Amino acid sequence: MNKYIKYVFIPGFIFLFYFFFPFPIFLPGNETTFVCIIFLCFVIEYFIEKAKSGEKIYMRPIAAIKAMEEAVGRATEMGKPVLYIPGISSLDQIDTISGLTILGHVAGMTAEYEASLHVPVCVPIVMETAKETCKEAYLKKGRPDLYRNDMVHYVTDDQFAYAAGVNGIMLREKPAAVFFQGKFYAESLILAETGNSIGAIQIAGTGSSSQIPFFVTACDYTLIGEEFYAASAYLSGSPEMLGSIKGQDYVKVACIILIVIVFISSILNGYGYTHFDISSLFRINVIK
Amino acid sequence: MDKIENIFIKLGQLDRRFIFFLIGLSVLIPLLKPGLINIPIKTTSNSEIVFKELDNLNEGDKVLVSFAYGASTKPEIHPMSVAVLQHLFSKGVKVYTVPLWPEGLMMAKYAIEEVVESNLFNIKEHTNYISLPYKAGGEIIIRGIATDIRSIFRQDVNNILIDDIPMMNGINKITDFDFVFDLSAGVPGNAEWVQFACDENNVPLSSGCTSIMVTDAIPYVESGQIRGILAGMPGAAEYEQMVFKYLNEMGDSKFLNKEALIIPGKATSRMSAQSIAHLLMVVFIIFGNISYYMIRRRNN
Amino acid sequence: MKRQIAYFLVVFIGFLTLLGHFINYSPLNNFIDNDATQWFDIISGFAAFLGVINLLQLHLNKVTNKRANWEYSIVTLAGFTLMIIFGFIYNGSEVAMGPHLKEKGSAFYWMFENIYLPLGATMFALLAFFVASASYRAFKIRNFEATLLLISGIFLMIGRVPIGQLIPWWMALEIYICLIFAIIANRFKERKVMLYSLVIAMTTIPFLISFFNLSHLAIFKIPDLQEWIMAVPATAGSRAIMIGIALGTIAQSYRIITGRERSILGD
Repeated sequence: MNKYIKYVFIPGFIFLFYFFFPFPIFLPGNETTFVCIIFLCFVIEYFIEKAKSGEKIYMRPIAAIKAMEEAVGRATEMGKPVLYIPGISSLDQIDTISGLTILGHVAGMTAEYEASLHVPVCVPIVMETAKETCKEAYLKKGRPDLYRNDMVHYVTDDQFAYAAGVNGIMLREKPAAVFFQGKFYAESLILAETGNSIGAIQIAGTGSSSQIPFFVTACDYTLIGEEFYAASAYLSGSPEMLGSIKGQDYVKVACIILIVIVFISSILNGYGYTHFDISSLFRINVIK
Repeated sequence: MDKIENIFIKLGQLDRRFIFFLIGLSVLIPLLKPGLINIPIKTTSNSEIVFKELDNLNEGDKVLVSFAYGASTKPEIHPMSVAVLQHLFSKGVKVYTVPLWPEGLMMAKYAIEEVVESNLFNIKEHTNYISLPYKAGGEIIIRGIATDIRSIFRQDVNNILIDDIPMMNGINKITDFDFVFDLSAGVPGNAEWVQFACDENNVPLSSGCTSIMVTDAIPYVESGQIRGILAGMPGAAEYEQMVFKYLNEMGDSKFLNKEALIIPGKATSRMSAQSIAHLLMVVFIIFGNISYYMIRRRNN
Repeated sequence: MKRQIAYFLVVFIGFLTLLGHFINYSPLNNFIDNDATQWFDIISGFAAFLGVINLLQLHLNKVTNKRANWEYSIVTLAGFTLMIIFGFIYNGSEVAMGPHLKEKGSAFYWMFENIYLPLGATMFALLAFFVASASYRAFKIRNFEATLLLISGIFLMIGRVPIGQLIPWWMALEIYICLIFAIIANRFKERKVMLYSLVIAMTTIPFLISFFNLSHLAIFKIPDLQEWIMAVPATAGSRAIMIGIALGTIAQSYRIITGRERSILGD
């Protein structure tokens, strides 16, 4: 009964409040977005609750995530550093935040395996966040002595100057493992090819769909699209996080069903069997 | 037969430095000797759509041109910027340039300067075009332009108040423009213009971008949210060709200075270099596959 | 305690920003649209100082202690100092300091136009070489997916440039036949049989196509095929990845806003 209250009545009440509240406290034109966000949040929350209550969640194995620990282990055996590149965007991009969460896990692995970690960054504010992330990760693993302040350092803000700088680091230090996790643009292939030329094991992950083909071609493992965002949840292994991935997958199923419905409806409308243009429901928000 | 096999195997295992050397030559020779290889350029449907959209504009229409590229992508996008500006000025359209990248300000300056120095058009700043300054914020600036441009820009690039510029009369938000043309090499770019400004306000948008970005932009092009796209240097070359032909066939026009020389743009001359480089890459790929097949057969 | 404050700030600002998109309250909308961004820009601006200090510290340290490759640090420091001088101290043009940055005669403009622009373009141009070596290495007929990548890559590369239009229909057909035989090559037990089949196919099929008047079909025109690849399968794949990324972004943002994603705060 509690579940019904939480996942049926509460969203229902929110929708009623949004659509029928007598006073105009909500911006007009955002109805579709609002419904989608509420639906998504409650679906994800439902599966997080299910996971927390002990239900086993099956996650398909993602080779790139499994390979992260192997890559760090390889770097330890070879006595070479691990190079971690958190992308070239600032903290306002979700890709950078995802990259930094994965950095936290990788830093924990390097602390455990006593491998050297090197994180050149492109944006100063990301440098500060990355420093804190690494410091905390080393502290959590009980190896604060291994943390060095110059582990994370700023290179430059310029895209290709950064690529040149990182290439230089790769060619001089010859890291055994290179991680590309974040937002990348045209410099992705330059970085990945250089990493390939030095024989490093490369694991990439990005939300930039145009750069995924370059990483797939040049890197050993690639996290494609949402696998990258799910990676931090995977690595943590906590039921809450895994539940959120399952919820996300169910939302994707709902999107697929919706696409099929719109497709069929459009065909029927196109051939004159119905007179309802379903695309009118999806008019994008009107800014006030 | 074994000797031929060995040759193919060796060809498929070339040192990458040799490949780089040949690619370098294949690009350098056509650039140094432009007349050596002349391949006619056929226009694609996306470039033609862009041309038609801009061609349908009338005298006095207001077009916002966004410069969102920098030094590294200048060779690819700058030729299309110049071609687009030439097309717009030839129709007496009023051009408003806005840089969304810090370097975009200089790129806009270079593009306008190139068009002005060609003496093809009788254009004056604040009469035919206005350059707005760079403001940090990316998508926020686009949203600001969409809702209230005067809250974002108080002055133009020469520090003259926009309230004092007659060309800015009646320009308050995105719907006061008749068209938006985005020249982008990354973020913010055409996707942000679609999401935050043009699609919801029904302002027609077209774009020119690097070849890498085209796969990101193509869903918007196919759905009609972006009207055609100039894809990288080939798109720039196609557009230059169309504008070159259009300017040459233009009769007497008060906008075009017929005494000035109409020269084709730089992208056209660079296409032969790109063609040879692509062909060479395909040849290398074929050799690589033949070698791979032969090695596999030997191992089996 | 420090961490609790950080969680609280993340959750509070996250929900505030989300609500700001839906609630019709102009101070809130103003905060979300203008003030919050300006706060971020101010923090980023100050963080830029930290970046500069970090850069100087690192390279000065390298030079003074003569660490490995310290010579490159001298170049970095020299470039940094030079741009500071040209940006803040030495003008070189007739306009005042500030607008001199975009004035043609100034030293800063000279550095931008003659050093920065060519260097940036050069780095981007390196992509051409890396694309060549990456495609040479990766485009191999290893399995079905790799073959599909190879075929579409070749057609796009040739179709995108003017040379693709010069390829006549029968040459495109020969390319298809060779590709088909490359895929099925392993099924032939004897090499001679494969070669004879290939030669027969390459000589007879063009005549058949010509006889049935099918040479005008778009599949035999590589530029048209290239446009179809971009418009249909590439768009479909791009849309699918975009939807997946959008959902992943929303789920990740939800985890951050609800305080579940804590590794960025060091937990």
